[in-house]
Amino acid sequence: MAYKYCTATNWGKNFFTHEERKNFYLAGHPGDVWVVGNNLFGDQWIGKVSGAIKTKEEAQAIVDGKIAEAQAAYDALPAEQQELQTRPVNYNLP
Amino acid sequence: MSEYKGIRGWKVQTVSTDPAASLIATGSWASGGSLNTARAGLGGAGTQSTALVFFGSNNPAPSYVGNTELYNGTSWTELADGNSIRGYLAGFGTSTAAIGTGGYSPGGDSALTESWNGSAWTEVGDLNTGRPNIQNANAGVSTAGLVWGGYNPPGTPTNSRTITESWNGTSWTEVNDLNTNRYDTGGNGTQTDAITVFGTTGAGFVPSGETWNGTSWTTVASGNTVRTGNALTGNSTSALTFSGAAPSYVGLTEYYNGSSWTELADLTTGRNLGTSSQAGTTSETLLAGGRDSPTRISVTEEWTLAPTFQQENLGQVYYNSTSNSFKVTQQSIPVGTWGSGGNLPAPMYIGTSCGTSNTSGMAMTGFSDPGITYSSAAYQYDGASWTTVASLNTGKNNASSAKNSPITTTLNYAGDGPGTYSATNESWNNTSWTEEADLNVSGNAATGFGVSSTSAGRAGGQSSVTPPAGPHFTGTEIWNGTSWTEVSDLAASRRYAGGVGTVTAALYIGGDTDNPAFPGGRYTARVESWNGTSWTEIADLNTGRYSLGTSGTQTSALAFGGGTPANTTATEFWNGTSWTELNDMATARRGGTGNGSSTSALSVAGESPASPPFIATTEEWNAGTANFTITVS
Repeated sequence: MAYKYCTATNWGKNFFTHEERKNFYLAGHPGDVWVVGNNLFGDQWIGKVSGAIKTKEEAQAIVDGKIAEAQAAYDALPAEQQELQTRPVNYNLP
Repeated sequence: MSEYKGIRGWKVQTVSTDPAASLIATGSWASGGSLNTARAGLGGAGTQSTALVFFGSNNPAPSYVGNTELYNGTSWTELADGNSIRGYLAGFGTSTAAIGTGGYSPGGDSALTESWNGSAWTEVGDLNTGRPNIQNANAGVSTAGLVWGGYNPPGTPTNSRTITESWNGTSWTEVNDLNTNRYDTGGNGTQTDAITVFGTTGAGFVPSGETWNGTSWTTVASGNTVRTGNALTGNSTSALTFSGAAPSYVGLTEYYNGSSWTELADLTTGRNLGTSSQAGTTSETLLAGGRDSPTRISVTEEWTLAPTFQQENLGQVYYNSTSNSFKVTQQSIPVGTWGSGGNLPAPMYIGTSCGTSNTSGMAMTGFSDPGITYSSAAYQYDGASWTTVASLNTGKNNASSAKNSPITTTLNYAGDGPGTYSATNESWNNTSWTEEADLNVSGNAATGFGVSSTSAGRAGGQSSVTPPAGPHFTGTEIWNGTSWTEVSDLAASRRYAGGVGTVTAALYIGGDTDNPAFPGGRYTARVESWNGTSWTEIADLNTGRYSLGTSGTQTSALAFGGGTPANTTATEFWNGTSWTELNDMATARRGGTGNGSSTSALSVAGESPASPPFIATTEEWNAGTANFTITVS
């Protein structure tokens, strides 16, 4: 597995540090889903942020759900505001 | 005269090697026990302390062996031979359960696969396509493996292959091909997570890397020194490649962190066609055998990291007795990274910002969830948290600001309110906002630049004034503290570009041309440079985008995030001549805002891939550190 998947709330400063970003892949996605490089440093970060481990399928379902919510919210916006945004599109986690 | 210790608090030390910038950079190679049979193009399996090597091409070349040797961390012991003799084969697994497959035998290209159970080799299912020069182009364990690429005989369409085969413990199945045909490439990983880099097509070296996700290969960053016959340990997010022929035999070692390659300590013996411990890690691996000339060698070297690591001090001067030079540890933009910053009190989208660093930033206006569509809010950041300061007199979206101004004196201008383009203009004195003279032309989604509330510029965007040059505005106006003056237009009309700089030296970066036929695409990579008089097109971004974040100056800038049209995390650095891709942000965003310099920047809020609602998270860019030789002219 190239990646591990977890959910964790970004509390802001030092949620992930510059040093950590040197040592493993990290990408945030809707629903507080984080895709984490599968190495020792990534494991340590998941522990630090008390990440709840998910399978890829579980993580994808969370992202899909958030995007569905966002699509509904976008569709409900007045046209003037829709013009300033883009309708969210579904995508696959790596 | 002051002493250095008195200035910085540290002594100038004499050291034999440069201080390490990270834990992985503490790694070094040490000698291990020599193979009993010198060889190249051998198969490998196991870890650093329980490594297995098998088969290979020995001296005098071309001759081949079936020998198997086991390493115990100190010395190699001969075990049972294979059923065949061959070299340039793939190998993977552990010291007690390994696979050797393919390669070249005296009879020609081999498809043979043999399975090792810790004491003997057994013939199992053949590859679908027999081929040599796949040493190190392999990943996995004895029940789930992967082999890719390889040599193709002369007279075939190419001298190298893209073919990838997957092993299930019994048989091989063809899966999706590599993007670039190659042989003598270095690779490692598992059946669902592998990486390969370098090699040759037969017609030329291949610089690129590719990662395998269990289904397909994706081209990733190229390594620094292209070569063939390199070895590799790791996976798609953390890998170490070492040795090779470039074309001379090298001991170069490079580390891949999931996005870019960094050079580390070299092997003592440069060579190619050796094998790594296929079940090793980037913390512990080895390289056994290979060739440092036409002669096959028996040398083993072991890679380990230092037991402890202490980050060097920025500004530390030291004397390197090996290179006989004074050096200093300085900031280095290419090794910079994004870390999380404090969250804004409220989400923000298509707001604007100013500031000088990631410890001194200001963000204002834009959309703010929930329900505030034209916000007048303003916030200041101190490197840890955001503080709400006095609101503007007029709330708006898509406003511009004097991007390079400090947070104590700036200007917020233009933008849009409900159904209108704005020409309004407000100045900030670090306490309150004051309405100033309007722009000559109302508009929004323009780029702002400038250094204070009395020195600012606005270029491009969209406006009720639509020039013949394109669907959007090309106009530029300069603010002198009293009034706006129209000056030379941009060459290409577009909105939602990024911008940095002063009223005499600025950049206009990317943007949305609203024109699918625009050269290079609607979301353009085009960049224009302002010299105080006119705009000139300069080198493009690597990735076209709009609604991006920017920081820096006309000669040293960052561009990050934006829409391509999909939201991106990509970060690029402008050194005054060209754009280079750097480490990405963690969160893809568009319609955020950025400020600071190229060594210390903020990426603030924006629209995530699932907005609305918008996001309030921020990221801080810090240049990394590297050691530079001090030169005295």
